[in-house]
Amino acid sequence: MLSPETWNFKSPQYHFSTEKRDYRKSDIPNVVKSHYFNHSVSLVLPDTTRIPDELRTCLSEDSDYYRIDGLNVFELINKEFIEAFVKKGELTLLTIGNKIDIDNSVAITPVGHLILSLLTEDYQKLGLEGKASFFDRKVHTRYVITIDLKSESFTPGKKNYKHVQTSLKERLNKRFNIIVSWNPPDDNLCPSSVAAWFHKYNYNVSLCQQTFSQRIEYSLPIPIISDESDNDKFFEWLGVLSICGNLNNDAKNDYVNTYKCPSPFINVGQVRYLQWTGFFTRKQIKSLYTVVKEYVSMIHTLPWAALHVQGFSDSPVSWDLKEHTFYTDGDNSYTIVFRPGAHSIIRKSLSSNNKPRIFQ
Amino acid sequence: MAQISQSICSILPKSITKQISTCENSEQYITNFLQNALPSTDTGSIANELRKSLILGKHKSKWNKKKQCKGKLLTNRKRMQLGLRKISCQVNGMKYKDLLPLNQLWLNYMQQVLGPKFLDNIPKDPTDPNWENVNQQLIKADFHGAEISIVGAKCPSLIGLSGIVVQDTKNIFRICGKDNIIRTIPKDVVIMNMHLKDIKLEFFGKDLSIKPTERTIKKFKCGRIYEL
Repeated sequence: MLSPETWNFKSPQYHFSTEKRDYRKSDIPNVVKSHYFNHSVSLVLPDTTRIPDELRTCLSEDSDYYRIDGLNVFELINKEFIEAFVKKGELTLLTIGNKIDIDNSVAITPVGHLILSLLTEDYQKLGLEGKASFFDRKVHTRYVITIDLKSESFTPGKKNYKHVQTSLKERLNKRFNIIVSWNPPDDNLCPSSVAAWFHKYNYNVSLCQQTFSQRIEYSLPIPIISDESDNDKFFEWLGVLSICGNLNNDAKNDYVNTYKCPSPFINVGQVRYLQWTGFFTRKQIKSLYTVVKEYVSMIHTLPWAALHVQGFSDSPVSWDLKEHTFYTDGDNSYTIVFRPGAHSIIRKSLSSNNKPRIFQ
Repeated sequence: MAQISQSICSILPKSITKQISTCENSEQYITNFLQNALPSTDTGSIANELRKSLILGKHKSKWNKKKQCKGKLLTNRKRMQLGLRKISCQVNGMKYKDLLPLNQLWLNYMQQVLGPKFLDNIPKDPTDPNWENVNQQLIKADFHGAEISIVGAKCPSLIGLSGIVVQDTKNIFRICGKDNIIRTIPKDVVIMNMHLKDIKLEFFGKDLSIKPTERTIKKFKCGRIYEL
């Protein structure tokens, strides 16, 4: 048997795209609007002593989400449910505790699509039309069914609705543990009504809260991002800061880590790192984006501010309805660097842009 | 009309023919053309090749050999006479209610085939010692009149169909559903349940993809992977 050429393995395909955006634009970038399932958000503010309360409370207050255990998918087809929660406001629902490449998954996007990502065996017993997964070549292991819940023709009485309902009720016996968050259309309605709904149907509903943590690093050299320089080094520095990596390397011959701040850099007194982890809907991220943009435009001494949003590695879709999978990594995240008085830079990172190089 | 037909047969006018020129020495022209066009290795054999004469009708291609089917097949005429085409014709009007007595006959027949001891100890999984014997008996049985329902299929629209079998060929089943519509179900993409009073037998269509007449001689192999 030939031994594998361990020096000749190609690195797994990764997709990065950088985009510059006019800071004067008032609308939200597409990257933010179409990223439906957000897991954690982190904000890096250099040279800041005080942060406004608005920034902190934007994602921490009024942002509870609910977890439901053992949900039957046909409950999501219920017409009353669709009328009350899917058509009004924005409902975001995702399966957790599953692995996207080996388990079934169900999700509802805020736009109103019900996505069922099923294994071949379950798909072949279910009876609904779906497409084979984008990531399979000749042998199909996964099928994705997309149902538009907001469609006018998806009502009881129509044959299509009846067929979907009987199929899901009788032929899909799997249960899912899901997290759900509802953004009501106006402030009168409480987001917990979605939890009350599931509680009425005797499901085990538990309240989940976002976690918030803050870190301050003192006397640090920080890199400056500019239009011409190599931005990859800047983002690498951001990453090392986010994982509490060692940025000050005084020992010249350190064996493990010889990372140094990339030039050009400036020395600052302190850098604040804020992180929220949980389940965020696109509406919450949109509001955070506007708050950060206003803050940056107010304070002109700030060299830059970086906002990083990380998606779930086991989510069935990455952006819009683009299918996502976990191969070596399930990364689907984006970083927005705000600069007062200059273009903001948006960098998108996606691990599942291409089919993996396995030829069956 | 007569004038046009006359003018077709006459010689072409000079205005057209004076533009046409033919090569005086056509053979030489062809040899020159071939020497210029062909690669250097072939130019030596041009003279020999030109001397060969090919008779058009002599050489026949081997592609026309038709597959010789073993066994006697019914011709289309015979099929029409036997009324085999009428089964799939919806206008014929086969009603589900009329087929219920057929189903009853089939149930009685199955009871005879499987024997009275079958209902007492139904083998539940392949480890049961009775499993193989029962499978052999089931494979040899005839399925006309059986009530089947499709549980899984490669094509999602086939799932959920059910009815009484009216025709059983090598690759398909024709079933008459409760709505009196006759549907054709291909065998090798389907998992079906056969209803035998209270018992449900799950079959892979792939195993039954043999003509009913040949199924009586076929031996059922155990130990296959259960997937479509």
